[in-house]
Amino acid sequence: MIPYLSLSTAVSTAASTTASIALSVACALPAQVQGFEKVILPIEITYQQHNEQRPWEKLAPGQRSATGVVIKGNRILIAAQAVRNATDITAVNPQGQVFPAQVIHVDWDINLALLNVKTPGFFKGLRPARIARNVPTSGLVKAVFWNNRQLDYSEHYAHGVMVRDSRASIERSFLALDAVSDAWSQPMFSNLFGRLVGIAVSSGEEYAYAIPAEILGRYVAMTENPSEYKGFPGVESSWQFNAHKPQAEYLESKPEGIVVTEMPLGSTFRESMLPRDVLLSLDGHSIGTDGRYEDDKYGRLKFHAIVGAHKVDDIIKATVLRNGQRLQLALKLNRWRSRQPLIPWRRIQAAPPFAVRGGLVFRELDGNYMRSFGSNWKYSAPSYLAALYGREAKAQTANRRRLVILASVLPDAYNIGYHDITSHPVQTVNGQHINGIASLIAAFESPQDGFHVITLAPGAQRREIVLDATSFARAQAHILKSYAIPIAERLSEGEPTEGKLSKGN
Amino acid sequence: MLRSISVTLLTLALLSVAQIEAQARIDHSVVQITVHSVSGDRRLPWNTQAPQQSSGSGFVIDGNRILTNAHVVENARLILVRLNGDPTPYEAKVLATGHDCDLALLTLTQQERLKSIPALPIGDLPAPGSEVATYGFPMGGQRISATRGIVSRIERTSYSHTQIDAHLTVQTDAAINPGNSGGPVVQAAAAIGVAFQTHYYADGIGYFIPTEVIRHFLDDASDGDYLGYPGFGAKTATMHNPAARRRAGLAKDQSGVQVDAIQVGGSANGNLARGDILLSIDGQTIANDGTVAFGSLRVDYRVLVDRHQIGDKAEFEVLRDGKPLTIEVLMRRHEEARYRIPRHDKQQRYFVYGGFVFMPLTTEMINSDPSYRHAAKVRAQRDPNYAAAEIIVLARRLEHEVNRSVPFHSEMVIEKVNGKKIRRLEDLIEAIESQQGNFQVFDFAYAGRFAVLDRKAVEKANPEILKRYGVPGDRRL
Repeated sequence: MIPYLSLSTAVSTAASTTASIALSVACALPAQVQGFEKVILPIEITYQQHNEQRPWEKLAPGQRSATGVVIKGNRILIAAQAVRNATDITAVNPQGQVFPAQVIHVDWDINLALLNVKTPGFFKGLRPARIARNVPTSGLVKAVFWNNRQLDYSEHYAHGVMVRDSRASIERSFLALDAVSDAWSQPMFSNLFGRLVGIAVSSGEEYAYAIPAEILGRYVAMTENPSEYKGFPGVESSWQFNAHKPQAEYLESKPEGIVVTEMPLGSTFRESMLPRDVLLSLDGHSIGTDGRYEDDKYGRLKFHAIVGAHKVDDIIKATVLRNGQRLQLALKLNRWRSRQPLIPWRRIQAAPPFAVRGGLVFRELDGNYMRSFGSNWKYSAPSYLAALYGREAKAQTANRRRLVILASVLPDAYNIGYHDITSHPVQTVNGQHINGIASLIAAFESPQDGFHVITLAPGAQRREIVLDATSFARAQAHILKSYAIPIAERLSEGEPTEGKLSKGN
Repeated sequence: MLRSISVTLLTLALLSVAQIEAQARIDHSVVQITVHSVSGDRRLPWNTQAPQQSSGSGFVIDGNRILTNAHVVENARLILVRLNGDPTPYEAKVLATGHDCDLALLTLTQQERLKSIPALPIGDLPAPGSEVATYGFPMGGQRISATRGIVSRIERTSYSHTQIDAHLTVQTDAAINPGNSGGPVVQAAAAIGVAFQTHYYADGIGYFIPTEVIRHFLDDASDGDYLGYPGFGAKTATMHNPAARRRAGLAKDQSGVQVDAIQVGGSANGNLARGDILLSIDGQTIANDGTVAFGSLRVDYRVLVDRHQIGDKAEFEVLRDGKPLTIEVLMRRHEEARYRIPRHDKQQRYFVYGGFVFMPLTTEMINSDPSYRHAAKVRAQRDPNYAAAEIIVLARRLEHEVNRSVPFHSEMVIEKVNGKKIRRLEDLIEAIESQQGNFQVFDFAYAGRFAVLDRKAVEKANPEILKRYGVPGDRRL
């Protein structure tokens, strides 16, 4: 493996003594980064996360920095994760001057955003990056980035394209590289022509992963007309290999293709496929028993990459075997959203949907809440919720689109007897099925014979909670005041509906 | 003056002699128990683990018997008892074991040797704050050790041996350490408890089994056949909240707990119903926090349920839909609630078919493996009768041509076999063995996953797979 080359250690390079060039210092840039000071910009972000445990509060603000890439139309391309929960964003021009920047478009699912700086003349002296058409599958690529307002670079060996889980919890294509030290939003350029080949967004001990140039190029093109932006399609399903001969025979097939076993609501496959269909080919590509196909450019990739190369609403052909019958299906590609599942891995909005009623804190269960229990949340979060997340996250039904939990109880004489209940899904409120925080708020409008009756799902330490509805308003006001809660509820921006979303971007 | 002093001295001297004699009786009645045990291998359930040696304590009671903890003699292959002042280890045998109350009754194979050993009488429940002494052989050692402390608390708590049982327990600050298990806790020259567990996260908190539980065990075992505690099988919730009480129709002078769930197979099943308010048990009023008067104390009402033996009837006053009822509940063994306790004294149940190793999850497996814990918790949410069914998992695959490319994942919980719902290991075997078609189809509980085996190929391969992997038999039920 080619070793990681950072400027502080790459003494054999032309810029052997220093590779970091202060913005405000007029000195010659090393050859490796010359010209990049006109293409990339330091972006500084103040962010503030919501308190997932007390969802009406925000946590202490923090700062992060990232590198933006100038693209045509005086826009700045950046990984969306860099501007998540942003309260203030600034861009720094080549003269070292700081200007406010605004997010003009964001797609959390593909993890890309565009910034603008309204200050006249800001983009003077800058030029748009050229985005490569393909990504390199071998050789070195160069990360060029701003580090404490100094231009820095490192070289990384490219390992080709891999399909893996994205931050939006869906399988997408990534350019795999040697590990990168800071992968919040780090542009990668080809060594030969200096074209943008990717933006690194995550790094493990072995590999870093960059959003590949193909996706960057398509995103930039699609956002030229933001009102027509449709996003990127994704295929979301559970599937298993079809290599075992008895299994294949049972399905009246040969060991070929893969078996689709479960398709969540809103997924592309759900509209025309059935569980235990054998998917033989997609868009003309034969699918192997391991779920991979032979990509013309990047070798054997998981079949998700076929869909990722298309646009939303494209229709592609699929060949499936169903009860021994070979069928040709036309699949209309959906935009799979990270907020689509029953328990979304990431919320589309920053603020958690919640409602406080009589001191009972209800909220929609999502990955943000689970991660608030720490990096080891699979073990440190309430095991019941971790179990639900692990097994039920995508198990929506038409009547079960969001999981609302009773997260905690703010102790008060009004809710005495229930103080020790935490972290359990709510089944009904006043006899009404709970499908999301909005349905819970509505259900509290209809008490039963002077009582609010909350039923928790089986397995709870107690199934039923009864509150006095006649004194509810007084108690509600008292508890909100006592616990300094400024708002009693926050609705989710968009609850999913079959196949598409009711609102939201 | 002189006379009164001498009387006092004489009294003290007599008292001292009595104390010394009592102490000598206690010392002689306490025994050290060395156990050579073999437990099962959870991963390869047909195997056993290496033999282990451990030691605990016990004490002689009437009838030439030795009382100790069930966990001291669990999985024993050889039990040796050492008597005070006698260098000979005597082989012992188990007369009765109550894993649900962590008590066991032994005797020596040379039973007559116990005739000369003074039996410790069984005393009563000690008063909170009163002084107690524990006797035993903490951390092994050759000589008896005694520690003193007070009764800190008396309440119903979990018994860690099975992880699902809870009974009346006494907490003490008298040091209780490994090796003390099974030893007597003494007050006024009588055994008022059996030391059995400590608090994992705290110092100075030890627990002993009180005579209430000991007598229940001894009564049950008196005919030589220990049946165990009956299972109530009703989950109840406290009624602290005034709104909950009003909605349930409780008058101001009434109190009780609400039945939250009825478990299949429990004593309450068919007698009580979800939503019932239990007002009293056996004439004792149940408070809104679920406690009843218990001498000068208040304890969980289930302590009174525990007083019954299997076949007894407990009488409940119940408020159902606002109307008072008196309901007699026949107490019965709740086998279904015990499906998941560890297999004490027995090896793990399993079935091997086509190299697939099927096992029911035990609490031990659930607690030690997060993926199994998750599977169990999701099942609990989906299935109100969760406790009444085993969770059968495809725990392992013994690689062979008949199963080589079967998609294999972690935590493969079996939902159906050949379309038949599986609630016990026996269901799975029946579903497999009654299959006449070409395939055995296993449906898993998660993500619509399934596996298929070729029935005829597997039946042909089964003996060879068992032989290749050293599996002595395809099942243990």
